Amino acid sequence: MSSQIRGPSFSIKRLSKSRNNQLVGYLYILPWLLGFLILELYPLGASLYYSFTDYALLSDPRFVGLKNYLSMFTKDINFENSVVVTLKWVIVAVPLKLITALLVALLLNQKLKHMNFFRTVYYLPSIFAGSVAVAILWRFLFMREGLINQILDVFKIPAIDWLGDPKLALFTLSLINVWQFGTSMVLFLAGLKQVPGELYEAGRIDGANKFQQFWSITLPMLTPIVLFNLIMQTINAFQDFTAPFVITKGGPIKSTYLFSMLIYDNGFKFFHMGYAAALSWLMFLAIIIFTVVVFWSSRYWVHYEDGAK
Amino acid sequence: MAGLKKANAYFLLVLIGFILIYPLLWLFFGSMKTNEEILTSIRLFPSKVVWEGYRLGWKGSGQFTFGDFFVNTFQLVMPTAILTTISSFVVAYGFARFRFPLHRILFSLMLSTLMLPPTVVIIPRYLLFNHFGWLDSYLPFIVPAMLGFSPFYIFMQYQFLRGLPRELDESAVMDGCSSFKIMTHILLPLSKPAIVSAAIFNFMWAWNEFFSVLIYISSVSKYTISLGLRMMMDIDAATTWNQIMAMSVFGMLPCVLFFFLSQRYFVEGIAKTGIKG
Amino acid sequence: MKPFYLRVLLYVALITAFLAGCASNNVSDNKSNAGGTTDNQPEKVTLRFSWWGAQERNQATLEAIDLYMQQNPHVNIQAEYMDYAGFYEKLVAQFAGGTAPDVIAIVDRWFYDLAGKNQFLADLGQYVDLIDFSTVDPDFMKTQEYQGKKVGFPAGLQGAVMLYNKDFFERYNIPEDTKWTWENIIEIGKKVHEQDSNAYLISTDSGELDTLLRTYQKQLTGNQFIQDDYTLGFTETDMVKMLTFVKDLYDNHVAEPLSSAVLYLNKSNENPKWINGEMGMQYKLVSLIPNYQKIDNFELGVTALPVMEDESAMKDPGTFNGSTLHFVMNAKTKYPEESAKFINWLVNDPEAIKILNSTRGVPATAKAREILLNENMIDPMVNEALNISLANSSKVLPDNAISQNQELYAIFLDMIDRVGFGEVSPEEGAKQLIQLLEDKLAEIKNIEG
Repeated sequence: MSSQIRGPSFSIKRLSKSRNNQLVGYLYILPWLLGFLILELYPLGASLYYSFTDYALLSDPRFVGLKNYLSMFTKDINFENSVVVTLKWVIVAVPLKLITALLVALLLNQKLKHMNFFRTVYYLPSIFAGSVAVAILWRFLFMREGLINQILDVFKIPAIDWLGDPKLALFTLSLINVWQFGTSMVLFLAGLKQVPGELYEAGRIDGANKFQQFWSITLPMLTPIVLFNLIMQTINAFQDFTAPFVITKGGPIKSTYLFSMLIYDNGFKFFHMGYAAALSWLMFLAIIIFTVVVFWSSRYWVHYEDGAK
Repeated sequence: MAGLKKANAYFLLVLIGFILIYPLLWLFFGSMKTNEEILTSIRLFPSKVVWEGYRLGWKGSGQFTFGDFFVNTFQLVMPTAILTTISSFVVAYGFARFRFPLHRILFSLMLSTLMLPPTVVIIPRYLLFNHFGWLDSYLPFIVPAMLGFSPFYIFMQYQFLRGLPRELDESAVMDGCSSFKIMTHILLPLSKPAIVSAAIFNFMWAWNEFFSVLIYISSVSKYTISLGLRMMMDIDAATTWNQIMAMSVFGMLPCVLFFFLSQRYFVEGIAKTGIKG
Repeated sequence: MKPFYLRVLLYVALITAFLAGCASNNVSDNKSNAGGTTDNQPEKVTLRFSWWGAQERNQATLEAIDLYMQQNPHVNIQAEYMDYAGFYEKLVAQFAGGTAPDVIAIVDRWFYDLAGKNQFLADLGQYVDLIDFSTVDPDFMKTQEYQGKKVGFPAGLQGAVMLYNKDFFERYNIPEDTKWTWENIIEIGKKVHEQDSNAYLISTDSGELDTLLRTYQKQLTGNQFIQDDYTLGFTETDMVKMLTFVKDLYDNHVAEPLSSAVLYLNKSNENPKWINGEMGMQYKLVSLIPNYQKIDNFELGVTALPVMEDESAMKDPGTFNGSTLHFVMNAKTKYPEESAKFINWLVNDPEAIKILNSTRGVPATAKAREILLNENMIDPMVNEALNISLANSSKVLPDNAISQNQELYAIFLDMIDRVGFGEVSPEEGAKQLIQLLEDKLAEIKNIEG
């Protein structure tokens, strides 16, 4: 985390004002501070408390200590499945998305005309992130009588149960995620534009071919963006909800039962609020651990041009 | 040789673009077909353009039309987007230009809320909003927007502001400007790309929002397009795909419109702020 | 510095003004209009009425509400309706937060949470001067009470039948008066599919199989699914029989593969195979029959649910009968009398009866049925279905609360899915299911203390 916060590059002493002036900063961040305390910190604390209770919503919370956390691993038959499904989801969707974004960005980074037009077109799917309309569209495309199967039919390929087959459903849904690679692509593009041309010149002079240039010049220069994209997209992927909820409702046989749905069902369908709170805290912890680990590992593979870490 | 490579590149670009956009195109043209044609033919273009999907789908729930849902969505999204943009700019200014005690810790806290799954806090928030009497209104969205609720946009503006040299501030200070004036007269005009892109991002995110609207809104009279679409989908799907498609297209239009109108700011905005991370 | 603080104040003032404006904009903006007012009229009252439904029911209800408001100008009724999915979750959240509506349509399986564990629903028995319960058959009403209290007024009758496609039966030479058994379904279904690989005798999915199997279970054991003392109402052998039926359905292609049926869970009227006449029959709640009558590709017929081949071994006829839903009143409503009057009007007023018709099932009051029959407004097929269902009614009714527990339901559904997909054998599945159910029951008992 702290590697992201770099102090101002000018010395503060230059702003020859007293400390008071700096305290004015508090005034500016006041809206956020208020919001944070009331709408984040308090609910966080409340839900942490609930996670140690049995809270059926309709009756008062009843303290039960670590029971919820233990139940997750011993009593909840869907817990293990959800964890596995969510991990599969993230491990498949995120790399696929980033690789696609990178490849397309490379394609767009050439000195061809109308690049802006293409960039816009490729970004279009991403403006509908999380939308119900896209979920509906996906269901239409991949249902048994849907467009995809109709196209396959033209080639005499038998229809596939994209959303009904437990082995396929998760993958089909994750395609939505990959389809919306726009944001990552734009960031990669911007990063590509920042690579100094001289490096490529030097590379060419040294006889490096396109692939070597990519591997030794482009990729290392892009690592800060890869880091950013990796973290942002993974966090988002962990929290995906709309598509499985609207299209497959977690099925078939819970093969698309993402962790977010497990939390929703336990909290809003079965009204085990305490248990749902514990589950969401687990998810939170997992995200934090993941981020910390990736950041820690970044010193080994991320290359900052200005030498910072 | 160069010409051939160029042609190859163009071909690939067009192919990929076509595949990406095809689902959306299908949605668009599907909305103008009859239901039978949608389910039986893979032709992209309608054999005959019919507006039945729009006409019937517009009726919505019967008591409230999609016109109502549309207006509702605007009533929810406009204040949210505008207020979020303003407040996140102000907060970003605070973090970017001032070094008050605990500034690093608070900044980290703000960023870490990005990783907070909404499900962790939704129940206490629901009960809180109920206590204030804000349920079944748009206040659960608008008030947090005022309170700089979105760390993503704060961070975005923060990164951008960090890119503006402090000398600007300093010379203004020497001219006797207050910090407020610096923010509004100096930094604000320069931050137009970041601000506009934040506003647009936020508009589109809020426009598509589903889960929290589902939780907080109970009256059909206040349904947004997301809820309206889902209601249509649950009630009567297979026999009225053209209606669902028509209303989906209708619901997507503002996003698309906004997106195209603000192309310049938008993509520049992300690019400029994302890099510094 | 002074101008700066002024600006801050301005900022704050603007926000407050905005908030105030917002708050006033969001005060009820319902579109119904109350009639004129005079000074002598009773106090103006706003009632919130919430229900779930599809277009037909919604429109009829709205029409009825408009009429009521015309007749009672001092009452303003705010309609809140949505689809069934998510209705209960929202309702519970509303009760928890104290924002529940005044009059609500609910299913009796929710009595347990709302009237048993908690006292969210008013005892309508206290308003018998305002609500006329005598129009409901007293024996039936007894089964609709909860813990001896009249918690709700049954809005309609519910039963279950097999709904079939007449053309399909003709095509495959299946006599309409076939007495269906768990065994001949498989036999005949197998033959049908052998004749035509696109055809399936039964249209079903795990949601409908669950209810079908519960019928079978009652026939086998004569018990509730889960007994009142939280023990299972069936043995492992019984469950193996039930799950074997599921396996046979899919192994013999009597039902279409789950992988294509799964998208139409609980919505088989949208399944193109059914619409195109490629499927023969399905389990159907009587109140849902009108949804299927809208499909005009073929004619429909109704017949009794399957029974055991050896009828003498049947401990109970098994068919579900009860009410479709109940109208209840929020115990904390500000206007109990007005709410009670409204409920009474909905179920007993002749005009209301005609407007609402059978959108919530054939009415539970004899008076309403008479009115509708006189006007030929009851669908003959629905009526026939109801009679068939009643003739085969289970004696183990109503279903107790624990049998309708959502979590147990989910566990059973999952197991049906797994057997249907071939992931587990009926024997193994039965064993696992019993273990899972018993574990969950122990947990539930523990929580309930």
